Amino acid sequence: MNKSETVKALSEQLDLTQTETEELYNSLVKQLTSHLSERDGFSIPDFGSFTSEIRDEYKSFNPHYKQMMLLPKKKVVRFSESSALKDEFNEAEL
Amino acid sequence: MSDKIKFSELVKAFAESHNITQQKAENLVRGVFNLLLDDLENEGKASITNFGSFELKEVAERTGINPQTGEEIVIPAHNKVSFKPFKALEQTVNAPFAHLESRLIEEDPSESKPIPPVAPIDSDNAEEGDQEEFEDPFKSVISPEVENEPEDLDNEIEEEEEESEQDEASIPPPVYKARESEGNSGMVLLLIILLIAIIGAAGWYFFLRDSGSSDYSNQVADNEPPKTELPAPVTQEKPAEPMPESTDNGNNEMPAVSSNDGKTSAEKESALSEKTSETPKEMTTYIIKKDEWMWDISRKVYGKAYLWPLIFESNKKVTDNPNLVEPAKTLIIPRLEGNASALTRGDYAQLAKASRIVSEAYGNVGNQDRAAEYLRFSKKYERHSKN
Repeated sequence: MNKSETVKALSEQLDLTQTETEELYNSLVKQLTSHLSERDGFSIPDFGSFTSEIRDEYKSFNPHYKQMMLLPKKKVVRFSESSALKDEFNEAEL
Repeated sequence: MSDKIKFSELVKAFAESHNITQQKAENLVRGVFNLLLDDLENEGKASITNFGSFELKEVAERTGINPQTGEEIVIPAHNKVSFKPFKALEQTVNAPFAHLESRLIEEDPSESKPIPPVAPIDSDNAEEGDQEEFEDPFKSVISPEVENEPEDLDNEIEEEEEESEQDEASIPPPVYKARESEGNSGMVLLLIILLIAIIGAAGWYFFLRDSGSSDYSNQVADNEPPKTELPAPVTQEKPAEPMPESTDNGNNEMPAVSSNDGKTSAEKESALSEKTSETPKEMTTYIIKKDEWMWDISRKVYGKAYLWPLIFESNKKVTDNPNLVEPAKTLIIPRLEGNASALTRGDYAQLAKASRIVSEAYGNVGNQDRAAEYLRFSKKYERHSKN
């Protein structure tokens, strides 16, 4: 499902025009991004939580230079599923 | 301590910034993620534009350890939703650290691999490793020397010594030979043994002088600072003697060439000449052996490798590429005014000129890095020659 399909489906659910929905969708993504960059993240009920954390610098082998490199620290986004989401995809097999 | 935003806050902020009801905002957010869930169920993967992609992954069964009881447990195979942020999100989030770059970690000398002797210089990394390896025998030779310097030696000489040491360290060898790395440890051991012998001999000599001789002129010469009108003879007085000697001895296993020059003063006592067993100083030519480079030749002839530009300068007719020296050719070895451990101003001036020529030669061969490097050395030597 690509973006236009998503927007179309959303506009039907929310009873809005597609243009309005697309605007809202875009700014929602922007806002979620800013929550991750300016704060520590957010969580969506029954889906999971998105957190941003600082990964410390670490050493790693660079196969091109054939030498150890020190990779700098970086702020990365992590996602962890909620238990509801876990159950959703594992119920059948358990 | 987490600064995570709550879902209610998120919805509220979104509603306020877009002038819609909170109910509608919540519906929108939930709607987005519900569609995502549908996608995941139907296709096994989903994505939010400009945000990231989700994928359903199967995790195989594995054994783990219960951290509370310490016993092994089996974690059954299961499915997991994985998330991968898109580049736009990654970059925005990482903005505060975007300026940081990964960098090389200094390698252990043992890890660097030598390049074959005839290979042209092209890889900087390999050279760096080589250089480290190359320094080692020198460090072990030179550091004891500095410790063992007689007390009455002028401090300035010591400083000069250290500087020339740094010179050596900063000048990478033109080409590195594999043969040398193998013999390194053995050579170092040999040098240490020789040094101990020399220290013993020097101690014996000073003991003799203190108790037996009352030679006034000798003592005067010792106390004279080296910065006089005649720098060469003074720096070659007895106190400085153990140093050139030890470098000389370091090369004993190599062909009999001398690192000292011959202008030892007439005051030289028989006891001293006995133990130094100096070779003739008028070493003017040198026949190149296989796998030898100017760097090596300079080390054998002068005792210091960093003087090789002098040899290159005198032999421009024989070779114009500093990296390539053909065996069996005869090189002219220029003489130093002072000696390798205590260069005179004239020597430094000569070295500056020679380094400039080496720099040009490297420029002609196309090695611009080297050319710039030796131009820098040249300026440095020029400064030395004026001080």
